[in-house]
Amino acid sequence: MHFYDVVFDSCGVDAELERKLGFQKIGVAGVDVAVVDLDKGRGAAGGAVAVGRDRGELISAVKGGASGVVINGSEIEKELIKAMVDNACALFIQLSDVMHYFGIRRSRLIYRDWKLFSYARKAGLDVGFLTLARSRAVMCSYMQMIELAKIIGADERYARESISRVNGALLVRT
Amino acid sequence: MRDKRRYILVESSCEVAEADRERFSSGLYSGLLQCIGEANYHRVNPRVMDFVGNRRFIIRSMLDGCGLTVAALAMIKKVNGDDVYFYTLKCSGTMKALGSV
Repeated sequence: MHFYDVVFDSCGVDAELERKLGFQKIGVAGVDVAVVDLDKGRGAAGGAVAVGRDRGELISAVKGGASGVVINGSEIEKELIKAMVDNACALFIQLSDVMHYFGIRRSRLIYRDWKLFSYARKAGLDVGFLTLARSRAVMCSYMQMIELAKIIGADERYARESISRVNGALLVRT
Repeated sequence: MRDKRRYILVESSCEVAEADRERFSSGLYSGLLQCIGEANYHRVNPRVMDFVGNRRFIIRSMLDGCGLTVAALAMIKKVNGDDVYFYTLKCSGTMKALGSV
């Protein structure tokens, strides 16, 4: 089984790091995968991963053909999840935040991610796990990614499948 | 009764000098305790077994707590007040099997 992740250019990913962390490929946002930050007022192009907090903008991005969505703050938006199911758009949970924050803030984020994951799976969505790291300090190996996914509520089998199939589809599709 | 254990090969972002290894291990246990919590720490019972060069080391944990150890190592960003991060490279039932990485 091959595992995939997506990080930002600032991490300086090379083949040696990919091999060491156990990934088949670590995609670079903006190079291998288009990632659009809606909170900064950039419209989503088709096939991109839309990152944002505003429900309306995220729904527009999903209807505009976004291939994945990262919900900043991990709040459950029922209307958005419904739109994602209708448009076969995957939900991605950003793991770098779980590694970055500390103490009670991290615990709250894990709880929100756990609720979001559980709701999205019940709704029938594909849920992937990406680090979307901006520095090497918040990157992780595939083993760590699987364990973090398990903390968020995935079972071992789904965590492995998701990091392989859902993340991989993102890198192939765009 | 013999406990089932797992050995995890970990790479640190910073070099650990030979003289600092004991202090580093102690700081790492504190970090693990903070991430795992007192109620679950006994399930992990971590122990730094050996250093492989200055940046890699092998940590032992109980079989049941292996996943918790791996996740906690992703969350630790400071040891003894210094910025650090850890990548877990391989996990095995014997220390010998970790030698090939």
